[in-house]
Amino acid sequence: MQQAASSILKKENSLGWKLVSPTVILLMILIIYPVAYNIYISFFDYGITSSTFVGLENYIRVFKDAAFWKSFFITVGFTLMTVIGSILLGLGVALMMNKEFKGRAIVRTIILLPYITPLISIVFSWKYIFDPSYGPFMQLFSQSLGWVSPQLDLLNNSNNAFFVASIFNIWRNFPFVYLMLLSRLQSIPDEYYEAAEIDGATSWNKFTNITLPEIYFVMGAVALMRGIWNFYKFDEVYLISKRAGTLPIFIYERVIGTTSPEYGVAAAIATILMVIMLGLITAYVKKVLKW
Amino acid sequence: MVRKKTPFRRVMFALGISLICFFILIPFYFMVHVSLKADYDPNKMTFSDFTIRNYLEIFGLIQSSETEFFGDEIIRANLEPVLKRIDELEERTASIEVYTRYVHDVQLKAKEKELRDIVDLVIDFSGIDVTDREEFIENSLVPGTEEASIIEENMKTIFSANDVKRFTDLRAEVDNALSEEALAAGFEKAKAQLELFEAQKTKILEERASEFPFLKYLRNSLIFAGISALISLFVAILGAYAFSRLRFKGRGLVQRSVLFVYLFGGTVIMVPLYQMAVKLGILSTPFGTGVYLIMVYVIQTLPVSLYMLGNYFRTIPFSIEEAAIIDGCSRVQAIFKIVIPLSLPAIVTVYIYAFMIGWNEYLFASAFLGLKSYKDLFTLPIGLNAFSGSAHAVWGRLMAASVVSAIPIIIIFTLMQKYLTSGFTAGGVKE
Repeated sequence: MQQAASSILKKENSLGWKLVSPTVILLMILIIYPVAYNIYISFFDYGITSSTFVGLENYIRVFKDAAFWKSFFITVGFTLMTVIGSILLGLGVALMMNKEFKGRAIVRTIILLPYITPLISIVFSWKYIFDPSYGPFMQLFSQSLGWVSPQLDLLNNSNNAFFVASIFNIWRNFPFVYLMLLSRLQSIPDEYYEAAEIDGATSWNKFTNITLPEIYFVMGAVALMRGIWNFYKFDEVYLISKRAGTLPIFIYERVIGTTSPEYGVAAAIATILMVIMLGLITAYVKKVLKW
Repeated sequence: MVRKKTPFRRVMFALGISLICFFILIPFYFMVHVSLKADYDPNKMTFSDFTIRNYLEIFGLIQSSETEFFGDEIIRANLEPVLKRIDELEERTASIEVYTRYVHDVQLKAKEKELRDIVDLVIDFSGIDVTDREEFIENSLVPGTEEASIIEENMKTIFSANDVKRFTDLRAEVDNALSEEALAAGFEKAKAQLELFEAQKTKILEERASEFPFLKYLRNSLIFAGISALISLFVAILGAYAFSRLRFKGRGLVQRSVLFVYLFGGTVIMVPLYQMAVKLGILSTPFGTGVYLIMVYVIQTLPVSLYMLGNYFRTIPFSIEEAAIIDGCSRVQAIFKIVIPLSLPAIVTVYIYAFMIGWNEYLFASAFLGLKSYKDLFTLPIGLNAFSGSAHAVWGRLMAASVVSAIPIIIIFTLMQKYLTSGFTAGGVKE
């Protein structure tokens, strides 16, 4: 009897490994090895044909580089702005959509549009709106209203390009926050609110004392997830403006968009980015996710 | 018992909802508007009346030549200076003798004149007393003579060190100009320059002839995203079944590694993936590049597929499989005969997610395909982005392409909204 059970377990063990082996092999070749290789490259002066060991020199160079720090703080600012912005907007919309009203079905579809439309389809429309020479934004605020200077270039000026990128990111990603929060909001029992109403609570009281504590956990999880994703977000930023200057673009420009690629330096920056992300991911796994 | 809303609050609420919808829809409005109205001529910047020409154009049903958009004059104006330079260089590099004559007659004369002018300036500026100006200048151009050292001394007080160095360099160059090595080097350089201009010429002419290959981009995107999603789905079905049904050693570790990828970005592994491909020579053929790109997409979409399918498989009662196994089905047969048919909605949902990740991907496509510029493999994101940066970009066609590439996704989403939104909240997203 004992033997039969252990043979079944053994069979399960081997079948399990057989079934996950494609996953494991792909993971090894395309994730684990590249991550290790990346750390290896970061200690070398890596050219197209030759490579020499330079120790920590790449890191020292990166840390001394003013452009890196500028890019780093832009990335942090971008991440904070987009996380806070999308959480606030998503929360507001989720609270509104949690109520019954006519036409809710159509509004629900509209709200999801920014998130589901392919990035490449919507990004040119945004570029068109903010185009410095004939975009509708400049036509309205500069030519008609005169609120901004006609020289203002929101897309190609490296000082403010990340701002438009942030607005675009909030616009695109708040539906994700909204969906997550809404599904949590809908699971709060109505009785809580009814009981509070009998006690004479105002809407604000109800929000701070019932809604907020209930969704607090989901909100934290979503914020952390968005923070992780936005910290290394490349395409949404790069396609809006090449000059937005966040760290992923900084790396990209050093490897792809140049005739003299600096692989070692780029790898060092990627490693730094990875360490920061690992911190965030560990926090996420420990506090939030139960897999 | 719910309190009645006041009319004021109801109006405010409706206003809020409309405002949100308004801000969401602005970019979509301009997308459609411009695609239906934009005129071709970017210099005129006027929008003509309603037209579906942009759509016909991107599907290749009609073809306007570039001349029609931009006029011949602009192209001719671009071409003219290039052609002129090519003529000059061709004449000069006909043979080494011709080149030597050119250096002797034209280049050297000009440089000598420059040197003379500088010396002249120095004499005037520092008030050197000279009897025969011409002779003095002539002598001062030969290094080591008395005149030359006088000039150099004075120069140091007037010019910066850099300018003095430039002067001596130029003088050395003039002295060496007719030596064989210098001539050969100069000849090679001129030839290289000629090649550069030739390339520029063909670029102007070819770009002029190229139309906007939207359908090709669309097909490539469909192939890359479709195949990678299919592979990812297959691998994920096996893996997710193992995660949700079987106990085996190291399950936790594998699951955690998958989660790691789920949160991990493309930027971090771009450098090593690129280096690996270059080292192995994968990027030297279009086929290898395509396969590599598909494999990278598979690994990007795999975590989402594994996670969503695993969650779904756990909701299927094990007793159904158990019955089949007792009836003589093997475990693997049970997956294909029982589990897959039962979880078809989830499988379709997962496929759509995986497909959308590949459809939107920009970073790796641009890194791998852009390197050797395999234009025939360009996907929609890089193809459209490259087109938008070229001199021939026209908003109307770009927007029409945007609309066409968005509509299928929006339709699929609207039809399957119920499944797909529950997929979002179940953690089925990866960016």
